[in-house]
Amino acid sequence: MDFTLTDDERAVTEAASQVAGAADPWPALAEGGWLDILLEEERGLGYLGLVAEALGAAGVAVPLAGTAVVWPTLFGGSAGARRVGVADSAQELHLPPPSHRGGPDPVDGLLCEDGVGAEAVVVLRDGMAEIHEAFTAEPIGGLEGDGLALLRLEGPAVDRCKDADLVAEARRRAAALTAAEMAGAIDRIATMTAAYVTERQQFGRPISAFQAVAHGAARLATLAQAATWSARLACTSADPSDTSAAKGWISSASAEATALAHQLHGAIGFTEEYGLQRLSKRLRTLRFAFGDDRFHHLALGRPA
Amino acid sequence: MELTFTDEQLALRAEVAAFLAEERAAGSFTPRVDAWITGFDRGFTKKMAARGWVGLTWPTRYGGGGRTYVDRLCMTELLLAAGAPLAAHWFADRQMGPSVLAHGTEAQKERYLPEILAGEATYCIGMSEPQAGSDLAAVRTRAVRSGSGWLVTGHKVWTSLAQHSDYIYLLARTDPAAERHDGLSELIVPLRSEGVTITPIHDMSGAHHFNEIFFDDVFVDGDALIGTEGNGWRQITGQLGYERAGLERIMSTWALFEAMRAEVGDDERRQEELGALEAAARVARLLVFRAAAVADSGRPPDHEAAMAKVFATDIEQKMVEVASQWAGRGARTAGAFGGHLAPAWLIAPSFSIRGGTNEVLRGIVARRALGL
Repeated sequence: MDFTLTDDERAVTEAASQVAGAADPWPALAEGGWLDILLEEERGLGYLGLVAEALGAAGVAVPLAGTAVVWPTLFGGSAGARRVGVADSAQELHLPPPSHRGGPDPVDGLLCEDGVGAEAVVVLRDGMAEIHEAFTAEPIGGLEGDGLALLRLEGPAVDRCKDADLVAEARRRAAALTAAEMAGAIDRIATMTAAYVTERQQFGRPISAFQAVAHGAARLATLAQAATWSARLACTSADPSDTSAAKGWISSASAEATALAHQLHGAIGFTEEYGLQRLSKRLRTLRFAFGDDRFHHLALGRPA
Repeated sequence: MELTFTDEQLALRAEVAAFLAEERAAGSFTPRVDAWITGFDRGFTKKMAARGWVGLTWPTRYGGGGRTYVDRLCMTELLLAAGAPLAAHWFADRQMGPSVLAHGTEAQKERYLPEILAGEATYCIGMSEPQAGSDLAAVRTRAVRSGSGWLVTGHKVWTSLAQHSDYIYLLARTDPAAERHDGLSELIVPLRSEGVTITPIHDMSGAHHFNEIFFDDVFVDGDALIGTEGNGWRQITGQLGYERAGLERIMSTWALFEAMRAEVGDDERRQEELGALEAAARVARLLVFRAAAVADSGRPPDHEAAMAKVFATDIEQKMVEVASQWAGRGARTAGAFGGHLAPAWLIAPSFSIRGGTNEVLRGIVARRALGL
C-alpha cells in the first residue's frame, strides 16, 4: 500500500485542475485524450478518477461517466467527443410514483444521467446494454445543472452488448468515477470552509477560535480525507465491494458535509454569488447518480 | 498510489490466517470483543514472537522484522478480526518499543528490546493521573535525581494491564520549575520495584484491567530515563500517534460485527444498515492505513492518527447501537449476537475516550491539519 501519488498521477491532477477551470471543459478533455484513456492505459480508471476529482472540485458537470467509462467498457471502442448519457434500469431509476414527484400520471420512460444535451445514450438493462441515437431527453432535474432527463427512445438500438459481466463492470466503474467526483467536491468545500472560518471575524476574533466551529471544520476535513481515499481505492481496485463502500459512504457523507459547510458559512454560503452553492448542488445531484447510498449499502449488506 | 496489498503482504496475511486457523482449531482462544486490550495470554504472545510477529516493524539489527507499519496492519487486521488475545505484547509492540528505538541509547535498546521480542516483557502505559487526563501535560508524578538514579513519587490511574505488566512506561515531571511542557521526561520503571503499589479499578463490565499505581520513593537506575531529560512531551506526542493509528480503533467489536453479518437475514432495512456500517468501516480502515503510511515515511502520524481514531471509534460505537436496535428486547439477553453484544455495549463508552478523547483529537485535527 502506498498513499503517495506517483509523478504520473500528480501530472494528471495538475493537468485536470487546469482543464476543470474552463467554463466548458469538454473540448479540452477530448483534446487532451482523457476521454479515451480507459482504452489506452491499464490504470485508466485510476487516472480518470483524479480527473473526476478535479471536475468535482470545480463543481462543473460533464458526461464523463457515459463517454469515458460506460461506453468504452461495454463496446471496446471510443465514443469520440460525443456526450453520452446513461440510463440504468437496474438502479431503480424508473420514475418514482406520482405522489413522490408531484406529477399527475405515471410516465413511460427511463431516467437518464447526463441526458440533457446527450448526443447518444447507453441504456443498461438486465445483463445487457444498448446504444441509442434516436431519442428525446426531457430535462426534469429539480436543481440547476442537473443533467437528469426523462428518456424516450424513438428507434431501435444501434449497437448492443450482451455480456452481463461487462454491464456489471460498466456500472461499477461509473459508480467509482462518480464517487471520485464527489470526493473532489467534498474536499473543496472542506478547504473553503476551513479558510472561511479563519477569515470571518465575530465577537472580535476569527470564528475558528470557537471550539464548536473548529471541531466542525475538523469533521469536514476528516470527511474529505475519507472520501478521497475511499474513492481512490474504488478507482484502482477491481473489487466491486470497494466501489460500493466508496459510493455508498460518500453519498451518505455528502449530505453531512454539505449541511456542515453551509452551517459554518452562515448566510453567505447560500447566496448565488458565493461558490459553495454550486458544489452543494452538484453533490446533491451526484449522490443519487449511479446508485445512491441505499443502493450501495444494500449491495454490501445483502447476505452473499 | 497503490491502495491494495502487495504480493509480499498477501503472503504475510496467508501465514497469519493459517496460524489463526490452527490456534482456533486447537482451542487456544475464543474470539472476544476488545481482546487486544483484555485478552492477556503470554503463551499466545510467545507463539507470535516465535514467528517474528512481535516487533515486526523494528529494525532487523535489533532483532525486529524490518517490515513497514503498513505490513504490521496487514497482520494485525487479521489478528483483531479473529478476536485473538494480544494484550501481553500489544502496548510494547505498538508504542514502547518504537519509543525506545527512536529515543533510547544503544545500551537501552539492548536491555529492553530483546525481552519484548521474545514475548517475555509486558508494558503498561503510565500517562494519565487523577488531575491529568485530557490535559496530559498537567502530570504531577515527580522523578528526582538521587545518586546514580532517580526517585519516583506520584500516582497514575486508568493503567490497563498493570497487574500483569513487568514495566510501566512513565511520563513524569523532572523539572518542576520549567514551563509545563518542558519539564517532563519518560522513564521505564520495573513494576516489581520497592515502593510500587498497584490497586485494581473495576470497570462497568466488572472486569479488572484498569489500575491505580502509587509510587512512593521508587528508585530506578539512571538508565531508566529514555531520550532527553525535559523532552518527554515531544517524545510522547510521537508515541501517541502510534497509539491512535491502529486498526484496534475500528475492530474492537469485530466479533459482534461478524455476528450481525451472520444474522442479517432478509430484512432490507437491516441489510442496508449493515452495509452502511461495512462501508464506513472500510473507509475508517483506509484512514488507519494512511496514518501507518505516514509512519513509514519516517515521522510519527499526528493529525492523521487523530483523524483516523475519531472517525473509526464513532463507527465502532454505531455498530453496538445498531445491534442493540436489531435485537430489541433481546439485547438484554446474555446470548445476543453470539454473546458479543453485552460485552461490546459495556466497553463502547471507552472507544472514544481511551488513547485521547475525541474532543481532544478533533482539536488536534483543527490545529495541526488545518492550522486553526
